Amino acid sequence: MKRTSPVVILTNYRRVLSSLPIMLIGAFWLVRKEPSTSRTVMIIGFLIYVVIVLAGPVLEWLQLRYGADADGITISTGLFSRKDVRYSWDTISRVQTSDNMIGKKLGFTNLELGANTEDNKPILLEMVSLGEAERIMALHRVVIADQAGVEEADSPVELMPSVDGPDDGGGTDALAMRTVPTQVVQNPIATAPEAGMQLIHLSTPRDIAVASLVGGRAFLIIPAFFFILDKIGDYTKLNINLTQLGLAIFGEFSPLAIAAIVGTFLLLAIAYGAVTAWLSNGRLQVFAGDDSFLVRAGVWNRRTVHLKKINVVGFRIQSNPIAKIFSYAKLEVLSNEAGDSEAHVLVIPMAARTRINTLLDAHFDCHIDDIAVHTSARITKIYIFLTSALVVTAAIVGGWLLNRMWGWWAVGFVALIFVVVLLSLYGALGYDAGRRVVLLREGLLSRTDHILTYDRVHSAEYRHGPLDKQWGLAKLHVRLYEGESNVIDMGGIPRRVVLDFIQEVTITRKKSAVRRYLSAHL
Amino acid sequence: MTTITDATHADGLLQYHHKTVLVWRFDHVVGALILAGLVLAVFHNPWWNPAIFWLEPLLLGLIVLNSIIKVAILIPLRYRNSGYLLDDETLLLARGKLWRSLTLVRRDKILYVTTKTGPLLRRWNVVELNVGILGEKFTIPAVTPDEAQRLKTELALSSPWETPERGDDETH
Repeated sequence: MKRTSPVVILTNYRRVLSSLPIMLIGAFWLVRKEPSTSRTVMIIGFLIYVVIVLAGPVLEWLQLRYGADADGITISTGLFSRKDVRYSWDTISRVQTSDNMIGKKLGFTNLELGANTEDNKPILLEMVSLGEAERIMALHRVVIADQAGVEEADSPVELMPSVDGPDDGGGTDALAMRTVPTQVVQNPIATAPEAGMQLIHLSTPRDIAVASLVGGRAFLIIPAFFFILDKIGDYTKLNINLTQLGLAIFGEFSPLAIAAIVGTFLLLAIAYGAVTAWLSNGRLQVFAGDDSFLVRAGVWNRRTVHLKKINVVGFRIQSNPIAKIFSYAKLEVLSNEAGDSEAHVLVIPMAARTRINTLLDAHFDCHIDDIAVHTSARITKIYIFLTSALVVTAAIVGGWLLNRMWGWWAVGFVALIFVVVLLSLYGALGYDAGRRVVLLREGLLSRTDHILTYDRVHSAEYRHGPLDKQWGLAKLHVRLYEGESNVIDMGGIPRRVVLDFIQEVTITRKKSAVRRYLSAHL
Repeated sequence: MTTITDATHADGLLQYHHKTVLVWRFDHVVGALILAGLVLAVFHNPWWNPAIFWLEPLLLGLIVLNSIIKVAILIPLRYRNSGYLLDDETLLLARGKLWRSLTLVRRDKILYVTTKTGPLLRRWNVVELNVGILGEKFTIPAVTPDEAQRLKTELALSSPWETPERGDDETH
């Protein structure tokens, strides 16, 4: 059994020291509120804080030990009473390393092992030497390679074969199908993976450009935020009057000034998006072997994720109006690891749809676009229009009743949020009964497609209200796994489709009592 | 007294214990009282514009009216249209008439079945049964202790439970 590097104490100090401003604010407040507070009390308080700062990270480092061998890894925690938990390699679905700049300089990395632990959190070993991380990853790889040989024959979902054939994925053709040349793996974090893995995706400048447009859009909220602050300034007399500031800069409130402000924010948004996209997704490489995926991403803080294919339970594709223009989308590979963190999936933040489709086709052995998707677009649109009109009316009446306390702009803003939320609730679904693959589509403007095997669905619920019933619609609530991100809620789908779907994914026998009941009474 | 096992809907759904109506009514009345308390607290706050104080009796009236309609009409209606059905691979939970929901739970995904009781449920000689999957639980609001035991045993004995282990169940 060994400990991680004591360097982790330094990184933990950084975390603890982040509480220093709060401590100082607290002390300042205490002195202002209770001027009679004695110097002794202040000193004792400060000493307690210092002891916590000094002792916490040291104890945290001392109490964690681990030991890895050919069969698995043992994690031992506690100082006085120790708790040892043993995980065999075949229960570890994912091995991830995350480098940061300090760690890289010192030759350390953070190692994360995806397993269904007691607290549903991955196992985290911070500041492990690069050599040790390499050894652990190699042990894991050997076991999953053996395991894949056994499990592949039993799996109803074909594991992703080597991708071949022409590619039209936006400039990655030559790279995408290239087999990585054999290399002696000295360090899995810094060099190419072992022979046999194929590079299936590599970020291109075009990917980064699209990601910068999509990622930077959040920046565009700032003008709206300034406007709201301005209004709050008007009502609360707090002098947060940004209109005055604008006038001071531009001299007059002309269309040119407005265009200049909007243009500046647009440029800032694109620049911000480009920098963040480049830092987090630059040099993105996705490899596929017979038994696992390997993803590397990031420029300064680089991460490497190694995920067993046998643990892949589906894919999530997210797109929005901007990404749609470029036929791009964000792809997440979902694993069956418990928990609700984005870290539990492999993410390709921006990729051409054609590239994504190729990957999905290969994994599920069926063409996703061939799955008939059921929705009720016309009725859904009418429903959204009526509901939006209702919400806007309610907001106007509410604003009037509240005596314009917050003003019409606030009423409009709230109504807009409601409409956007409503739009996101509507979707469509389809399934391929032969291959037991489900396609669930959430949202109308920003769309999220979940492509999963039937086994991913834990429960499925049909819901309708009086209006739904009147228009022959229903809502669907599907629980995929633990965590909020694994719940799918959709509305505006034909009633019959939802009823067929919930039976399809939860019942196999034709003579099931539940199926008989549903057929007879609905 | 009617028990679940001998009370079935004409359509084949197993009906909840009739004390379910009491449980739902009790829950609703408690919720309505809390809401009324909040309305009173909000409107006796000096921050509010006096011009809208007429809303207070209106809201209280709506809460009372809603409670009467729910307790007298909607809860009995919901009870008559609610129930469950268990076969060897799926648990069906049906609820409501106007706002209808049908939940199908795969039995191989069920992780636990628990019972819960309290002073009122004990007095009515029923227990609440909870069926849990990862991240969600489903409730049968009132069953007799015998029926709860029967359901627990039946769900625990079901064969699909035995094969998958957590973490592996998605792959086959």
